[in-house]
Amino acid sequence: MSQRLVIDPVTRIEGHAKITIHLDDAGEVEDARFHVTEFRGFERFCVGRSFREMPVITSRICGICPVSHLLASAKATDDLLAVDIPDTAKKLRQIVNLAQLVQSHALSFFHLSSPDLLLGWDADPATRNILGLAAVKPELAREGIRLRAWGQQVIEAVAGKRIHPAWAVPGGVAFPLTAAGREKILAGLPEALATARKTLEWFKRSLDEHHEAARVFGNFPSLFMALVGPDGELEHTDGRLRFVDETGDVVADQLDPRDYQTWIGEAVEPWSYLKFPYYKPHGYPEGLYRVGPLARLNCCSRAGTPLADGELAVFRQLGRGAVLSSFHYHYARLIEILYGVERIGQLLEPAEILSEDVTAIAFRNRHRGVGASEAPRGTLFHDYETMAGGILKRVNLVIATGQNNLAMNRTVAQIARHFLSGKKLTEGLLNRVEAGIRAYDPCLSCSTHAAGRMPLTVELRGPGGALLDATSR
Amino acid sequence: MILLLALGNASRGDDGVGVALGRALAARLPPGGAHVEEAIQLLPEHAEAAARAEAVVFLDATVSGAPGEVHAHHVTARAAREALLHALTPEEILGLARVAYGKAPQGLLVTVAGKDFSFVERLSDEVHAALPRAVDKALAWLAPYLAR
Repeated sequence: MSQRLVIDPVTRIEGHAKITIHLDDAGEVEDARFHVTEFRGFERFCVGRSFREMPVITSRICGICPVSHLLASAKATDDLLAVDIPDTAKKLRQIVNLAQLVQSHALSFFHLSSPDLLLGWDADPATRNILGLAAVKPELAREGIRLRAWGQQVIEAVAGKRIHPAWAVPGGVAFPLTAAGREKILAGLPEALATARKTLEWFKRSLDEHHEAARVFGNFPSLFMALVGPDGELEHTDGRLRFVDETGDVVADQLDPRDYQTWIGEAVEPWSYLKFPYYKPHGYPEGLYRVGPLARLNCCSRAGTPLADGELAVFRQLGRGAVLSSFHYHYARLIEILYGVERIGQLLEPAEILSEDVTAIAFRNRHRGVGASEAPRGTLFHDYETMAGGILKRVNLVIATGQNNLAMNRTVAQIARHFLSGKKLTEGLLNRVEAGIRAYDPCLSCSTHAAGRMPLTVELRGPGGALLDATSR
Repeated sequence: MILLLALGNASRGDDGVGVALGRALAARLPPGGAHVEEAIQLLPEHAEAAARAEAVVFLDATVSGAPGEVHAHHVTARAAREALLHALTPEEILGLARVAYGKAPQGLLVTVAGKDFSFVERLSDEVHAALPRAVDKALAWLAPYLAR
C-alpha cells in the first residue's frame, strides 16, 4: 500500500513547484518528485520572429537573471552572423555577466538561504526570512543588501538599466562604457570585496554546525558540467564545455557548445513541465549531471584571480575528488561572488575597456546559431535555426535549472529518507526538503514560469486519495 | 527627504500608473525635496532608501475596484509573510527598514484601480483621468512634512 506526501508550493525559490514524497508499503520513502507545475513556452512563441529580436525578447524570460538570457541569446545571434565581436565588447559582456552573478548569488545567499543557516532548520517559519535575519544579525542583512545593490549598479553602469537591459546586440553591445560609469563601479568595489571576504569567513566558521545538512542534502556521486577557459580556468561568458566525474577526473573536455546535442539529451516526464537533461553517453537517467556554482568549482582547474584561487584550494579539501554535497552550492556561491568582484576589477583596469569599438556589423551568414554562457544557476544554451530573411523556425533553450532537475529529485529523496519518520510531517522536515531544493537556487521562471502565489499545503495521502495527514502554512 | 517608490511596469498599460504618479507627484514637490525610485517590484534594497527617508509614499496600481478608483492608506511596518518570495510588500519594506537600519519612516500607499493591463505603453482614459486626484491625496498626506 503506497502513500504520498505533497509539499505545495516550495517557498523561497524563484517560481513555484511542489514536492511529492512516495512511501512504500513499509512506510519507507520509495521515491520523490520535484514537480514544476507551470508552463511558459518561449521556445514556441519565438518561432516566426526575427533572430535580431531574440536578445530583447528572451531577456524577458526572467527578472532575476535577464542578463544571462540576454548574453546567451546575443552569442547565438553572433553565431548566426558568424562574426568575432570586438574585444572590448567581449570584456564588457563578461563584466555584466559577473555583475549578474554577484547580484543573483547575493539574493540567493543573503535573502533566501542565510535565514535557514543562521536561524536553524527548526526555527519558526514566520521569522525564517530576511526580516528575521535582520533582527538577529542586522549587519549581515545590510551588507547583503548593499552587495546585491552593487551588482545591480554595475549592470546599470555598463548596460544602461538594471532589469531587462536591451544592450547586448547581434555583433557586440549597443554602446560603450563611459569613464564615469567605470569610476562608479570602482568606487563600490572595495566594499563589495570586503563583504564577500567577510561573509566567506563567517560561513566557513559555521560549517561545523551544518555537518548533517552537508551529509544528506544531495550528497551523492554524479557528473558535473561547466564552461571552462582554454587552460581550464573558471569562465562564465565564453569558453568550452568540460565534464568531470565524482573523482574529479575530466570525462570530456573543451567541447564546442555548438555540439551540445551530441553530449546532452533532454528527457521529458508527464508529471513536470521541466525537462530532464542528461549526459548522453551515460544514458537516461544514469547520465545525471549537475551545473551551477558547485559544478563550476568542481570543473575548473583554477579560478584565475588571487583571492578566489586561495579559497578554491580550501574548498577542495571538502572532497576527495569533486565536492559532492549540494549543500556546498552555498559555499561555492560565496567563492564565486569573491571571484566575480575581483575579476570585474581586473577587467576594468586596461584603458581599452572604454574603447568605442564595440559592435561588429554583419548580415546573417549561417542558418543555425548557438550561444552558451554560465548563468548564476548553471550553463545556459540558446539554439536558433532560421529560414529565409532571418526568421526563426526552431528555438531550443537548455536552462540551467532544468539541468539540475534529476539532481534535485534525488536530493529530495535523500533528505526525506533521512529525516522522515512515520506518517507525520514536521515543520523541520518540510523546511529541510525545501532547503535541499533551495541549495540549487532553482529559477522556475526561466524554466517554465510562475503564475500566482499559493499557500503552502502539505498532504499525506493513501491509496485511492484518502487523506491521512495534512498541514499548511 | 521624501521617498517616492513608484511601482509598476509601464509596458503593461495601467500597471504603469505608479510610475506616472511618481513623475507627476515629483513635479509638484519643491526641487530636491523628493527622491523618486521607479521599480517593477519592491526589493530588500528599497528598505535602505526607506530608512534614510522622513516619509515614504508607495505608488502602485491595483486590480481591485472600479477603473480609476483612488485609494490612500497609511502603511505600518510589519514582519514578513511566512512564505516569503523575493518581492516584498510596502509593510515589509518598512519592517525591514526598522530591523536592519533601526528606523521605519511613516508610509502611505496610494493606489489607482486599473482597467487595461495588456502589452501597451499608455494608461486607459479612466486611469489617466484619476492621476490628479491621486496626486492630491499624496500631497495632502505629505503636507506636514513639506511644511517643516
